Amino acid sequence: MLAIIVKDLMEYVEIDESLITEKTQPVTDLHLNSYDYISLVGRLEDDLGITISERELRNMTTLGDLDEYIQKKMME
Amino acid sequence: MIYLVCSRENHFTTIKEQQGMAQSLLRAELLRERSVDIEQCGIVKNAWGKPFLKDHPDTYFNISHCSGGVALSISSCKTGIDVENIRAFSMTTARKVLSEEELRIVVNSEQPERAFFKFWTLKECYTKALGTGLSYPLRKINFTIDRNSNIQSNMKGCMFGLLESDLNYVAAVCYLSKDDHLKETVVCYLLP
Repeated sequence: MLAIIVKDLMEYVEIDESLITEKTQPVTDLHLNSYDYISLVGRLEDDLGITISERELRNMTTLGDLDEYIQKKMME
Repeated sequence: MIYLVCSRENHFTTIKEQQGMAQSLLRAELLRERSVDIEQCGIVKNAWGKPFLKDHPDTYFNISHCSGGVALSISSCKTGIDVENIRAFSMTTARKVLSEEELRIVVNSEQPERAFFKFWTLKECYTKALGTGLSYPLRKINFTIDRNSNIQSNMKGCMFGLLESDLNYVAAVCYLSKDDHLKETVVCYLLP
């Protein structure tokens, strides 16, 4: 799942993909602005057919957090 | 004061270039407006990463950048600013961040992209003024903008301003104050 997130993320940032890990914080580390981050989440929702609640999103800081949450949602 | 740097052509399109322009603008205007040398005083950050000047409790600032645009607000009260390129947006994103009333206005607008980014920048500058960023529930903030660009919101103790450019940028600024005497001058630098 992280690979899908990273693939979509690469549309928004200019960085060597190999430097992105599950510990990467998209806003703090990659300087993704808030709108692009929300757009990325919306894109993942559309692509994967899931809904990521805004409340839950507020608790996710790393790509690993997002990955873990999406995997749980996919199994529901 | 509010400072906007806008480019007609392809200036500072990369994030690195935008950050460089934003830092240069901040350094120059803090020194000119407040006699604060950012290199000397240093920066501290709150729990959500919002930067503040160390040892200057009466001077607040906030910066924002997008492709070809940089915005800076310097004020005596807590402030937030956001600048965005007006561009296509997804309805999934709009439903996630807009109140029902705002969403209805955007959908029925003759310029939905402009309408969306007006609401977005207003919400973003409010959360930046608070210093919480995306940890604030955006759909709980509701704005109405009348024909004269007067802005009303359900948030108390704050004032808002909307700055529109014919170069396809929109910027919004928020002050956590109800002092009507706080009239800020807008300085625009237009690059070729």
